Amino acid sequence: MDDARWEKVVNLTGFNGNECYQCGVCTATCPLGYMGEETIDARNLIRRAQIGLDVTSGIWNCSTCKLCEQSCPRQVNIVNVIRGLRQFEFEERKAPDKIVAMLWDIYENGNPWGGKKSDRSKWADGLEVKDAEKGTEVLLYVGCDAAYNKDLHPALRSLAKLLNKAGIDYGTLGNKEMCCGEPVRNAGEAYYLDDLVKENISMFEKTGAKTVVAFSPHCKNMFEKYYRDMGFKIDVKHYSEFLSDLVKEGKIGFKEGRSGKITIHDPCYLSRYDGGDESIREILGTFPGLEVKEMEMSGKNSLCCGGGGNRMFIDFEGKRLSDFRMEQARDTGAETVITACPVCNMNLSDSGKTNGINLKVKEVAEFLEESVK
Amino acid sequence: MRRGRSMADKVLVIGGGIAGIQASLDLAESGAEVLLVEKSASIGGKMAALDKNFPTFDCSICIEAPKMSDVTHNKNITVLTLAELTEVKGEEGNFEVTINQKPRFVTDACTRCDLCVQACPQLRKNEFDAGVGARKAIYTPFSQAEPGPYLIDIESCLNDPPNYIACGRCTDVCGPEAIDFNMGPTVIKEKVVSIIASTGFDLLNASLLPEFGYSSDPDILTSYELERMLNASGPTDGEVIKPSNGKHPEKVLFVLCAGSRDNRFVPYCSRTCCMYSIKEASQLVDHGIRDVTVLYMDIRAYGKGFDELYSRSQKDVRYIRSRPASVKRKGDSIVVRYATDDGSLKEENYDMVVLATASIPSKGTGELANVLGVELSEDGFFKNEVEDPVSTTREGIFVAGCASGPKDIPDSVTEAGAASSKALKYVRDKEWIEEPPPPPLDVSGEPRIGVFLCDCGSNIAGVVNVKEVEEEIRKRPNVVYVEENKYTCAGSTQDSIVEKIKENKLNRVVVGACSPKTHGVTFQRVCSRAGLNPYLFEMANVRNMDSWVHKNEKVPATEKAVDIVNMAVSKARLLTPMDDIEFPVVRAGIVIGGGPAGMAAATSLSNMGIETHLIEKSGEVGGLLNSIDTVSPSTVKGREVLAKLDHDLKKSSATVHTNTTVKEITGFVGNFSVTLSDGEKMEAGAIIMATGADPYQPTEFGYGNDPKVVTSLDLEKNYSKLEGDKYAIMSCIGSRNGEKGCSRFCCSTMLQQAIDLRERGKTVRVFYKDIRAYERNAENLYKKAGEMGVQFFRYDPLNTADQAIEFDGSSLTFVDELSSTKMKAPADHLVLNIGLKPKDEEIFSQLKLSRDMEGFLLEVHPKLGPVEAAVQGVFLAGTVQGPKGVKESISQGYATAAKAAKLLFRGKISKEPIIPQIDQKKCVKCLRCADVCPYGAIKGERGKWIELVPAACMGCGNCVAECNIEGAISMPNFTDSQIMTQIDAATAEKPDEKLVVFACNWCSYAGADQAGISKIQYPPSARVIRTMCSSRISQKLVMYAFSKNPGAVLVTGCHINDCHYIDANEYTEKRVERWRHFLEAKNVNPERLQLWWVSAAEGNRFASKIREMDALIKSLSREEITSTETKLKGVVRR
Repeated sequence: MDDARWEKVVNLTGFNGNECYQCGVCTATCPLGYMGEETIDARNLIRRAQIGLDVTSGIWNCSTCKLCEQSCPRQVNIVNVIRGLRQFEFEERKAPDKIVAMLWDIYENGNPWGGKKSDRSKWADGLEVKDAEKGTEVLLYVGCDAAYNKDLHPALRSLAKLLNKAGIDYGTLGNKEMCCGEPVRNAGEAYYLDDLVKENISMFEKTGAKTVVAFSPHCKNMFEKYYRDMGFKIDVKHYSEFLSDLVKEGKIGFKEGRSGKITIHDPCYLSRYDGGDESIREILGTFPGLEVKEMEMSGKNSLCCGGGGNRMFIDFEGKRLSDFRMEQARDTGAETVITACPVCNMNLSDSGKTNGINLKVKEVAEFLEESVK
Repeated sequence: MRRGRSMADKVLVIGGGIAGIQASLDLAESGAEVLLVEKSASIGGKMAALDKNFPTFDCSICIEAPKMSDVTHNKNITVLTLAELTEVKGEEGNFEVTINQKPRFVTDACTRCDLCVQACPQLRKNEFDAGVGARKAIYTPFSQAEPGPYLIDIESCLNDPPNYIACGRCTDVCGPEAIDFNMGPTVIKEKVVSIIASTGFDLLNASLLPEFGYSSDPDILTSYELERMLNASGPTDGEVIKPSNGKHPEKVLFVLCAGSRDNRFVPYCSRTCCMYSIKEASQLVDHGIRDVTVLYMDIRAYGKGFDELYSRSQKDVRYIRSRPASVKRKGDSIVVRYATDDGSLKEENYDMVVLATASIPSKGTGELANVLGVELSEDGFFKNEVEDPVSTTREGIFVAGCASGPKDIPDSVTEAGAASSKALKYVRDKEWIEEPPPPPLDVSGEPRIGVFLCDCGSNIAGVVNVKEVEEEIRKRPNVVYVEENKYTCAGSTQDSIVEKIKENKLNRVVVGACSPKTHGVTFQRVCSRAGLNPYLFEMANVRNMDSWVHKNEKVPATEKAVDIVNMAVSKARLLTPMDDIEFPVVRAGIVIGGGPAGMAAATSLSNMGIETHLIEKSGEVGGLLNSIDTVSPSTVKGREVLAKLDHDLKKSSATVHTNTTVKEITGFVGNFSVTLSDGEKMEAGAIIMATGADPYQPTEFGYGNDPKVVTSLDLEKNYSKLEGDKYAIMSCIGSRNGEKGCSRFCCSTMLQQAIDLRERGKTVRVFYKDIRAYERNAENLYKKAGEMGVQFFRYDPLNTADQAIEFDGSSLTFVDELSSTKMKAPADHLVLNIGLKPKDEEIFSQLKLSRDMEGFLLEVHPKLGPVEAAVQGVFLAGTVQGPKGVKESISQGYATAAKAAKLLFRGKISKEPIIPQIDQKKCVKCLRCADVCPYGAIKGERGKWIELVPAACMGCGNCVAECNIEGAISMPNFTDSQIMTQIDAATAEKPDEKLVVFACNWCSYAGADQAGISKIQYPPSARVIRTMCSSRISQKLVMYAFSKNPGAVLVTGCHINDCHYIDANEYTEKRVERWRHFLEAKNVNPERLQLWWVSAAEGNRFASKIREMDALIKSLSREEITSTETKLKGVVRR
């Protein structure tokens, strides 16, 4: 045993794993096990972190979905332990090549997808979206996942239209918007993350916005949890929460009678991270004719789509969590899956297509906008 | 204004569980008047619902019911059920309390005939059965409920006073017209001098644990539900079935820490779940379920005998260190997912899953605390201090049992005593209210024997065909009445026995149930209540010596039961009435040992106004507490606790004798004479033993030769000068090894030391088997140590630390069980976390105190008598009784004070009249009897005169056995003819297959009881005859036994030096040797007579000897056996 190494690991993991008494609930809860695949042996990762041993495998497989933490009797922040271990690996130059490549994309283009800076605001072509730099009430943070994925542009446009309809004074940073830093944090690149976050905070604050509305729950969580600790003060909301408020305040009106069967896929970063599994249901609850068929795992127990924690940037073999999730969705007998996260949306849509599951996957913004007067 | 009948000061006890019951009895027997307020319809609490207790497998209600009935029969105690405290005014010594009592709607005229229940149409879930069973709107919570009348749950009743519909089914069938719908709520105001809160605990709602699926599946149960199911009078009559389909489960999983040690629910350890789950798992194995698994985190088997039960159960029960991630129904089975220490992921199918749910503060604790004006701790239980474990934050108000955090029965009982001793300080006026005894029954005519046969739920009836026994016994001469009871000890059955005695004009009573040692007094009291002399009662021990030990031999067990009951009936026929002898009691107490337990005991005893002497060997009080830095798991410093104890002791009027030891103790309960080392002599009525224990002296890891290796005690004294950076702490040094059990306090010490070292910047590695952080705040220490970066390594619990871990002077090599990895770690210093070992004091043998397997002093009962020795008038406080922490020792100290007080306050004690009678006409004054009397109680002059001094006689009967003159001296209650008639009954059928066993009351009979309690199986050939001492057994009795042609005769008794009559058993030893020669001379194989010593704890030793003797009998030819009578012709006297 190497006590110097131990001290470094313990500091990087923020002492988070130390109080774990090794019950193994995390390992047996990990959703990767649902595909009959090897789960992440989180318990063993923590054990090795507790005493400073080499971590052999698993840390880059984690989707940071936090399902394991839900049943942890000591309420260990397991995801933070894993992030700490990733930082350790990164600093030892042991991070996977694809992760390193993804980081280069962020350094160079401000996004992990390799898209050009100039393409960032393409989704809004033809729409009237204000430049937030000139001062705005609400800053709409689009995020890289939706901005660089054409399939999500309709959802973004729907959101913009809804905001316009409700008469909200909002704007975006356009092509100047940069990655929120979530992939950087999950890659364990602490130094660049620090710079990036500081730059973003200063940019956000210059707009004078009172609220930041994030399209992705991942970005929202980053602002709410990580930025806060760095002195970020602006109020943060996920778009579904913002829309839910608008609906409640009567600022968005609907056509009568929406019917059909739908099911809801709760994004981990909304339901578990924020304890907010209400907003999507509140919005849908305004359509009394709609039949909501819940999946076996929903709300705080939702099953991850498998895309978080930088898994989008690494290739995995075999069945995917999203494949499994679409089967669960199909088994409810619903016609449409409603979600509110670009990562979930991409993965579920893709699984539907590749497995021939004929279910529509829709952002709640898009679904809502279809029904507006 | 006083409302009661007495002039005594009143104490209010809130909550009628075992702690409240014990506190009420301790107070009442010390002359206080007690108001016992209970929220539910019966006293008894959770203990009444439990099937068996760990680790002894005592039938829970069987040992609690006598206490419950003591409470209702004690005239100093007023029980208010369905009642709640609503207001407290005033201050200590002068509280005014208001109590609201809900109506019961059934008066005391109720006879519990149950006709109303059969008539009632309203079905509801039975709360007592955890909702597994049903009850009616009119009901009794359970068959032993006290007070006895049924009650109406008016919410469920079709009537809603003052509005009535024409139901009236219950009133129509009630003969004594006991139902009264006009009863209304009552408000009671009383002045009390002190208050004890013993409100117990509740269990966490298992539906809150989503991953364990409780609310989604009927076959996922809580331990409490299983406990009711295991109970013979529970909803399934003791059958373990799957609620989903009524079938027997084949694979059962126990899940520990369901909600405990879990930051989402309760962060603390619930303290009892490990042990009751081990007990329940073992019971399931006994029920024929082969596949039983327990998932645990740490097995917290911290108490006396706990580890032994745990290791015994490991033969049949699979233990895995893990916790399920999900428990879900899939088709016919329940699928459980969990991960193990070796990194593998399991998915297993079970038929039934049992959740050991967390203990939480009882409902209404917050409101009660407000009414009382006391504070609660963060955990929601009553707040208290280390140096005063039963205190609350308000003067004059005390707390006992689970109200101040989860704990097991003996710890609750101890605290009940401790709280009573604190409350008694305020009780100035004392009175013992007694009803005049009923007129004595005329017993002069022919014996009219009544026999009451107990099923003990399924404990007896599950093995013995009680109906058959009943039929057989009915045929015996003089038996005029026989009945079978589900629980003969239940208060209602006791009342009915009183009636049956009167109705049938019974003049002898036999109860065929359990041991006279536990229940004899209870039934003697029942006889007294009917006016029948208590010495006309005899008990047949069918449970401990038959049904429990022959569970797979139902037919021979039934035959044996007939014999056992018949032996008692035969003896009963010859019983004569006797009167107890009363002695004055010296109202002074002596506390030996001035550690925390002794200091607490002396302070409390003296504060109650009793002359108290504290004898301390060293120059200062405090004992080991002088060497303790922090009293873990609290964060209080040892010196602060000591200062407080010392302050209280100095303030009291106890006399402290330092640098003094006790040279000699003679005498008996109420009248001990003590000689101190300085020559001072004193008299005392009670002795409190608080002599402590010694720290284990390790040799492990080169301790003593290597300065790098220190003990935890060394470390306590040396925090200021620590060298080196890397520390390793080794747990269980000298504990949990073979016969050495868990030392209980050391895990907390270890965690505190790890924290202390870490705070000083050291790297700390802890090597453990199980972290037994069971006490309040201990789990917090464990968590804190982890957070601070203390590294924990688990080593193989089946090995000792020095077997599992290698130390080469600078590094440690070991296997980490938590990751199944072999490792090497640097270490500058080893801290050996040592436990305690028993001391060996001369006064132990002077007082004839029994020891447990490990050598600590043995308590009278592991559950309900934790601070009393089997020797009357001697009490045990602190580590002399077993390893424990400071807080627990102090608690025991206070508790012994209460026990001593109730003996001393009365000023007199009565003694059984088991004292020999000399027939002056027949006696030739040879004084052989006087020569062998261990107490010199027989005085005389050879050939001239002889006299017995009753006060000095202890009743062993050695004199009687020594006497050669027929009829010159006899021992009442154990006369020759009484013993011979028992021999006749024992050998009436198939004598050649039988083993006649003579057992002494104190050791071997208790050892045989213990074999029963431990369910150690042995052949059903033995017939046990109890006498007070083996020295009572004479040549006449042994030869008489042989004349009946039994297979063999076994004389048993206490080990040499353990005899309760000084050295009387040494005479037995010589005599048996002589008789063997005699038999040999008569051509009888001397091996057929044997002598065997068995202590009260050695159930196994008793059972193995019976097995050996049984094999001997089987090896003999029938002819050899049946010719014995002829060979002994002429030597046998009748």
